[in-house]
Amino acid sequence: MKMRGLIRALKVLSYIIWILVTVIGTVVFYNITTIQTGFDTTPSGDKVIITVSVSYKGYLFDIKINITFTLYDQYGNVVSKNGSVMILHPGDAKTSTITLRVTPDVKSGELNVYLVQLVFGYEFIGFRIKEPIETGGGP
Amino acid sequence: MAKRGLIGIVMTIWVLFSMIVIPLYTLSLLERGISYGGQLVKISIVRLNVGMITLLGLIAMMLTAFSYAFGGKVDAFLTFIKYMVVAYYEWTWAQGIKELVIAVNGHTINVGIYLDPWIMLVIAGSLLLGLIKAIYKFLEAKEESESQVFK
Repeated sequence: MKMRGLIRALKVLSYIIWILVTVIGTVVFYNITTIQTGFDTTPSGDKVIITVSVSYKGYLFDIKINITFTLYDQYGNVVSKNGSVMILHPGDAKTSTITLRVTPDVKSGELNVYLVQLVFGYEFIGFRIKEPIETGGGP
Repeated sequence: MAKRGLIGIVMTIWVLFSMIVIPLYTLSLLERGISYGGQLVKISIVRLNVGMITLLGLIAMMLTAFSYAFGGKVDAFLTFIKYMVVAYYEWTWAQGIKELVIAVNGHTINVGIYLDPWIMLVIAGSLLLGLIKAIYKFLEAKEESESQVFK
């Protein structure tokens, strides 16, 4: 009889976990699809100012977005690196400026975006995108 | 008995297909490239331990076959072990997709998906379900053996 009670308790617990996983998972994956980013580049002397705009129309949970630009010379050494971290609540839209020093020895660049859904303050599901960016080879 | 044997064979084949054949075939298709919007998109999961996926799939397949072959309390034990194997299988996938390479038109994009806290919840739910099933089967087997003693 005690065993039957234990089974019932475990059953309820497993249902609670399944509902939590399904609901949170659905909301989190939907939220990720509502993020929009835009980049606007303005050259200024030996620098380039990148304005990053992010909008987020998700539900319940906040998102953290970490954007980093890295410029390399022909040997793969880092010439310039800068980034920005933004935390957005549902319905937020934010902009951030990132300044990079561009010298003639710049041969390649890389954009690194790390997007993470915060659930009760914890990083729950994250996506990292790393892609090469076109560089003009300096001013 | 024959019905149980037939269900056992079907379930074993299903485990083989759902844990090894379909996922690994899909992986090889993605690596060879799929046409999306007129462009060839190639996706490869760099960090996925394909050997481990195959091994765990085979173990789960054997456990399924054995659980149907033996029945009773052994079935209860094997059911829970199978759920543990499946949990590790899910964890292996979650670790694998942390590094994907997407190639489109000669451009390469590195993508990573981090699911650790979520997959831990999924595994916890799955293990609990396995435990419940195992206890249920154990009680059933116990009741059956007790009723046979009284006969």
